[in-house]
Amino acid sequence: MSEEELEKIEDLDELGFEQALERLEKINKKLERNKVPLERAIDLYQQGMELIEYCDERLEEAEGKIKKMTNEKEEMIEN
Amino acid sequence: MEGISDKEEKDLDQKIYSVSGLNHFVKGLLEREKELQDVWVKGEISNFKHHKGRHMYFVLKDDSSEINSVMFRSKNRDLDFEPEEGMEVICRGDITLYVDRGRYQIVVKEMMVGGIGELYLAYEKLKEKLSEEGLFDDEHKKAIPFLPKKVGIVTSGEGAALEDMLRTLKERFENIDIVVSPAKVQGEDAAKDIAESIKKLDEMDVDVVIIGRGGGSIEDLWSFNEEILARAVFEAETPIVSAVGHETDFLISDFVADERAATPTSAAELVVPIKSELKSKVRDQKRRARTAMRNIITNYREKLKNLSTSPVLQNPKRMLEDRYQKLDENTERIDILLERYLERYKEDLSNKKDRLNALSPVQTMKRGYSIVMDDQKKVISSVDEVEKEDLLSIHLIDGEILSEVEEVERCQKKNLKK
Repeated sequence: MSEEELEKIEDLDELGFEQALERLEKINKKLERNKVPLERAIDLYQQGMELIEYCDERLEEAEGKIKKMTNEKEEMIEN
Repeated sequence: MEGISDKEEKDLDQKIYSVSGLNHFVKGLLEREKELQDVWVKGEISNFKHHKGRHMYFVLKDDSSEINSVMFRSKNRDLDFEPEEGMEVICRGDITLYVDRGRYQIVVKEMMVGGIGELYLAYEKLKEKLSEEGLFDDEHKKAIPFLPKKVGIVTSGEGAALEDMLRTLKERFENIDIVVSPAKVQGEDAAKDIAESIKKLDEMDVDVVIIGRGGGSIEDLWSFNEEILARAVFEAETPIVSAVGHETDFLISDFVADERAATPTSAAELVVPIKSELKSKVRDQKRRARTAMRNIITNYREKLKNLSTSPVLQNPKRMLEDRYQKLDENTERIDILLERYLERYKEDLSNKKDRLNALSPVQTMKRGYSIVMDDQKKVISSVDEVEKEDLLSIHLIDGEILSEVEEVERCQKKNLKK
């Protein structure tokens, strides 16, 4: 696998949960190799923390609502 | 008369078959005719004869006609029902001729109970049509999102399937948002109803839609084999998972959907990941990131430490001491050099002084010579520079004498002026 640049991504929502997690793993692999200049390491770590935050948010953002559309009138009943 | 003899001649040319030869000839014609092989025929069973483990003989008939039929043991043992007198069936078979009796018949290879058989044929036909149109092609399959924000469900408003799905979804991801668009899932208009529900959900912000129902007879599941439903599934922008009946039920909706699940419960499993697993994955990554960062920092700190223990940084004074020493050495040397220089200079100076002394008028004056100056302290070296009554000072070795000129006398011989 060629060395990826792992530039910072502005819109994490475009990335999605799965990709974010994958990216996080890549960042960690890079950090674990321990050959990154300190400034870059800090930058990557920060990115990683943002990805973690995004993933956590994605897991918690749904509210657990169950809506049932009624067939006759097209309105929603919230359970 | 000629006509008759022609005819007679022609008759004589004709091949005369034996009965069996003729029957074999016809049998051959029938069996070579592709249109008569692998045909489907629908009718009512009558005159049914079957001894266990033997061939089945019967007549298929409708209101106005009948055909002799046989289903050999090798085929009839696969039947999942026992045909009986008066039963409406659909048979697939080859048309042939039973030479012994000179009767044409159908050799049945497959038999289905009437209604089901018709459904099956319709299913096969639609499946082929849609397949040719490309509705099942992989290139149209949309990916099921890894983590949907909102899941749409089209199924019966009541019933085990909905309960199973809701329970499974909640078990895996307790805060998942779900929109249920209830629809009739069997009977007349069910396919249309399901298709409309799919469209409704497709216009909403759901990320994936499960269409499905629990198990039932093939007639119960039939709406999922209808074209209107298949097209609605195909046209939806939202990825759709088809989950109808049990593992063994394959419906048109399964082929056209982006993903097939064996049951509604497995559809729910397919659509939503287990939250706790994801959480622990994220947590693992967080731990890894922290550990890696800590290691990096420790590493750098170590490097820094190594650098700072280098002798120079450890004891910067020593470096200065060395310099001081060098400076001292140089200072000493420069002192010596300076001294030497001064000495030489002094020597030089005293030599010059001696020489100067030798030239100085002082020694001469000591011998009695004096210097005459005017009142401007200008040395007078010729009588032409003075006039009578000028005030002059005569400088001797030990003082001066002020005097006034009474007389100027030029001495010819002693004119030293040039």
